[in-house]
Amino acid sequence: MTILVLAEHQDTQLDEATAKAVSAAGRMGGDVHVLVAGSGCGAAAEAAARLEGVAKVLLADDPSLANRLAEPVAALVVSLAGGYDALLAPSTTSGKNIMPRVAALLDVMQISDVIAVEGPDLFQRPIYAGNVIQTVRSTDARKVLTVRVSSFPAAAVTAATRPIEAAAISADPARSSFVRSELSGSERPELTGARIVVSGGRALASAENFETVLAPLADRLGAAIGASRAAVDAGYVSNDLQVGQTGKIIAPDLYIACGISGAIQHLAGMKDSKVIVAINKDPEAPIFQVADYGLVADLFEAVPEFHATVAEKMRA
Amino acid sequence: MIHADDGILSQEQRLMRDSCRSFVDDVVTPFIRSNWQREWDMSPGERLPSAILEGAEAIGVRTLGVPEEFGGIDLEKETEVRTFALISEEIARGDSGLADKLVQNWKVSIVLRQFAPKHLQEKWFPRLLEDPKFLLAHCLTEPRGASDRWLPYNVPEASMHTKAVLDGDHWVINGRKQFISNGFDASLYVVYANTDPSVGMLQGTSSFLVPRGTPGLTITKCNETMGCRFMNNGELVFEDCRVPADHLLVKSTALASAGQYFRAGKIIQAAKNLGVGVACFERTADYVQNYVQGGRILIKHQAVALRLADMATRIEAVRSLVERAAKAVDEAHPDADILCNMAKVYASEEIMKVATHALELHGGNGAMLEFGIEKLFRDAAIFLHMDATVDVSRMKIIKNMFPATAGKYAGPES
Amino acid sequence: MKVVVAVKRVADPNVKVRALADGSGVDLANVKMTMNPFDEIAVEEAVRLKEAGHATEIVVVSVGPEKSAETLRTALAMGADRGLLVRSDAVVEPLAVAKILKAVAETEKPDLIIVGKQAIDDDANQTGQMLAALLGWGQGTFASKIAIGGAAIEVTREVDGGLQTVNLPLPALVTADLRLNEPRYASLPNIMKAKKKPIDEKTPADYGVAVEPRLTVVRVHEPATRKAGIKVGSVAELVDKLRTEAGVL
Ligand SMILES: Cc1cc2nc3c(=O)[nH]c(=O)nc-3n(C[C@H](O)[C@H](O)[C@H](O)COP(=O)(O)OP(=O)(O)OC[C@H]3O[C@@H](n4cnc5c(N)ncnc54)[C@H](O)[C@@H]3O)c2cc1C
Ligand SMILES: Cc1cc2nc3c(=O)[nH]c(=O)nc-3n(C[C@H](O)[C@H](O)[C@H](O)COP(=O)(O)OP(=O)(O)OC[C@H]3O[C@@H](n4cnc5c(N)ncnc54)[C@H](O)[C@@H]3O)c2cc1C
Ligand SMILES: Cc1cc2nc3c(=O)[nH]c(=O)nc-3n(C[C@H](O)[C@H](O)[C@H](O)COP(=O)(O)OP(=O)(O)OC[C@H]3O[C@@H](n4cnc5c(N)ncnc54)[C@H](O)[C@@H]3O)c2cc1C
Repeated sequence: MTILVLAEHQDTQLDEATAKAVSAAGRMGGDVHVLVAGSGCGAAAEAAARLEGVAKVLLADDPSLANRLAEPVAALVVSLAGGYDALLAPSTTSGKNIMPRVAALLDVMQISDVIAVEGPDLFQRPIYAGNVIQTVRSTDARKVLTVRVSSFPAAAVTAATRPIEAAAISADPARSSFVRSELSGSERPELTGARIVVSGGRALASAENFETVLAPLADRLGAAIGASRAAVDAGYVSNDLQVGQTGKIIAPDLYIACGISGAIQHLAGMKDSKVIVAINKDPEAPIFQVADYGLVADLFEAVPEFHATVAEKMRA
Repeated sequence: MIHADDGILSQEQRLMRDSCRSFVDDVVTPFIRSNWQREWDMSPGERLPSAILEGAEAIGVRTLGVPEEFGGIDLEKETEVRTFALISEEIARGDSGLADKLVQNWKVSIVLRQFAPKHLQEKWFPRLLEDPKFLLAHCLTEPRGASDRWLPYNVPEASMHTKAVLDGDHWVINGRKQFISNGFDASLYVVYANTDPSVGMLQGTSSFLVPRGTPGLTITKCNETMGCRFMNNGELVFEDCRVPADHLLVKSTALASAGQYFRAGKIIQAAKNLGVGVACFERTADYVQNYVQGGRILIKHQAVALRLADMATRIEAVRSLVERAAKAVDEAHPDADILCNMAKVYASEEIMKVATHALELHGGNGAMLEFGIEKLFRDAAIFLHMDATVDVSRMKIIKNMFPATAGKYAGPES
Repeated sequence: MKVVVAVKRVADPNVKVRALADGSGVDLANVKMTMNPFDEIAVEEAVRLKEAGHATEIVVVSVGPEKSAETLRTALAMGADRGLLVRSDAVVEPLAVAKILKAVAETEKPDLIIVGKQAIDDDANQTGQMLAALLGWGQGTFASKIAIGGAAIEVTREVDGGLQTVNLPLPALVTADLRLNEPRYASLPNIMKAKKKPIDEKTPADYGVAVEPRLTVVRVHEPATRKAGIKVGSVAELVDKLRTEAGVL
């Protein structure tokens, strides 16, 4: 079986999502090829060629593929599909935009947001906002899927590189044109929608500490800031940041509680978070009963260290 | 369970219920929860929060009862009271004071569409539709009491102290009304007054339309109530208040003719009460499935489970009676009067018990203002008195069932 | 301009849906159903286009069981003009829905189709893209803003890391994201008025579309509940675990 992975990249660099999609593809068994479609995207193709588990890279470098608009990229993938048993993309907004279009043109029912590969045609995917996991078997001869990147490790980067071949560019259907893109700056996301929330409690002790201790970590992670009621009541942060029974009820992928004891009213607002981290200097603090990862430490030391470690890892 | 059975509702009723529930969940409940501290220090003016009124306008719930010919909508007549019940329950599930405020408009609209002269309907219904703050009030109760009116004691000695006398082409009203829902904010009042002191109140009471701002009408007070605090209950004084002769709605037999208002009113009352019970149950069911004592969530302690079962059973029993009574009113069944009094009194006592369980099952949290359970308890308590007291409602049931014997008991103290 | 909007009846998002004990599916008995929230946004956008004088007619389509007529009625109460129920009691996968909608589009000939970006039950996020592909139209997915300009539409899309704006010649397809607008309630008076608006009924067979599923559901289960957490010894260990084990960093 041969699998084509549609790379997620910014032309000059390859996103980690691609490495994760490659490892997901590897679990289906067979040869994995990566398609890098873009304009001036040679560097991304070279990075893809270094990913472990990749047999070869197809490079489609053409001005019509700049900005990876769905119509031309889907047309390209469809033109290459004949040689593949499965077509796969990370379920980023780009993958989600393009792959269903590919699937429909191939008359295939796509499998979205796969979190586990159980076999070449057997996959797990979350439904009902992750409350339920569905295992599905695809009866289509050719598979089209998107994979949730957080569910797969990134394929390793190797010194050796695989061949890069130029792919034939198909005609642009010209059903859309790029106008502009605005990438968000460091503006913090909104509490309720954020994927990561860094939350502080009474232990923060002042409004300044929220800004100087917590905010840098939050901004580094692209996280929203939350707070316990004690912190809000003390005037450290505004009340729209309160998490809990009488505040906002949230379920981010990652909730980092810093200096929060874990009162029941606070837990009511965040207990459905996918991963909970607690940093508290009291080992008996109830927050540890719900935390996936607990760190008994003084937050004024641990949080800056957390920030520094993440910054370092991100640079690497 | 607990909520109305979708199967017995029409498609429109279900959709209306869904819109009301969304409005409550999106707007009302968050407002109530974030303003619990202010419930006690808000000025009467602040109790008409614009976000809530705008939301109420957006779902069009303030002006039910206004006929289509005046720009309103006609609900299905055969199920109108049941629809009123369904909607008032949903709103009261969010806040029963807000529900009071809104349903008073529907109830009084029923009176207007039946008794007001056409030119006054043409004048007032459009204003009601246009102005999101336009509220209506129904003024019966006086300082000396209301039970006499409900029973009623049909002797001259028990008649209303508020009097209206015809003077040329105006009626001149003098007297005082108290405990009036929307009394503090309403733009238009329906007022009952004695117009013939020589006969009993069934023969000598007339009703009038009195616009706010009529000289001689003074709004003297906003009552501070124990519950339903987002409804401004008020007190009014009439001092040589002159209204044009055409503002007379019903001459002499106003009390007897108000049956339509009272029957629908009692169903709505019971349904709002039910909404408070549903809120108690939902909050408590959630709490006992999350809060831990003795190492396990409360619901796993059998004593807790039994109480919850009792709450659910009482709510379902109330719902059944309210549905039966509402149907009887819609279908003008001869027992409608009896049934709607039963529904009202039964709801008030049963939901009080449901609220007590809620309070109990929340432990110390139940007694804290910020938890909102004590508010439900206070709201539930109000229903014992509104639209006739428990005992007076029971008397009405028996008087209606045995008119020849029990019906004859009433009389003044000598 | 004519606008077609597709709406799906789904379990209320506030309901925590559970897997059936035998793993054959999810338990939807007595679960409150409602219009897919993203579809509400799609309907709202169409109604706003009509109120702004861009759209002349809004047709809402739902593929699903008889009860989906109620979802259409809600859309009519929000301001759509007429409804079309393509009735199927069996589960219809996004690909088949897209094929049915394509056939509908061929008869209705809309200038714009708006659908929700995903249905919150199967969370597939496919139908709109598939429909655009089958029609050969341009797609503006995950829209947070649209602007009609002559014979084209400019769509601002919510993409990872920010916003992307594209221009699509009409006819075109848009999928609605959360921030596109805040949908109105179906007001009580409008619910009564919507009673008089027509809803047509068809079947997938009327459009020659086979709805046999391509995916077989082998099993449905609930994810493991939060396992007893662990204490980590250092920040380095914490960050490492978050990256490799939890995969959230
Ligand atoms: C009706 C009601 C509703 C409520 N609603 C909410 C709500 O919505 N949200 C909410 O959050 N609360 C709510 N509360 C309040 C709640 O009960 C707690 O009081 C509150 O959550 C405590 O906040 P905290 O954890 O920041 O403070 P504390 O309980 O004081 O905890 C501070 C924690 O910080 C730790 N700490 C101190 N210094 C350090 C340090 N240097 N490094 C690391 N750790 C340190 C301590 O060990 C302690 O565990 C409500 C209460 C009631 C009664
Ligand atoms: C929140 C609220 C809103 C209200 N809204 C309105 C409104 O919008 N319009 C309006 O007109 N009124 C309104 N009322 C008044 C309400 O209808 C009366 O309060 C109620 O009918 C009871 O009358 P009362 O207060 O005079 O009590 P009373 O009649 O003085 O009753 C006191 C007690 O005596 C008992 N009792 C009285 N007479 C008898 C009897 N003959 N036999 C046996 N027992 C008797 C009663 O059962 C009760 O236990 C409202 C009241 C409240 C609390
Ligand atoms: C005004 C006020 C003053 C107070 N003053 C003080 C004070 O001065 N000092 C102090 O220490 N405390 C004080 N308290 C706290 C008070 O003692 C507790 O609130 C009370 O004992 C109930 O405990 P709880 O709130 O934890 O409720 P919970 O124990 O959580 O009870 C919740 C519900 O669960 C039921 N329940 C719990 N466990 C079981 C079980 N095993 N089997 C069956 N049912 C069960 C309870 O009966 C109740 O219905 C005060 C509380 C209030 C409201």
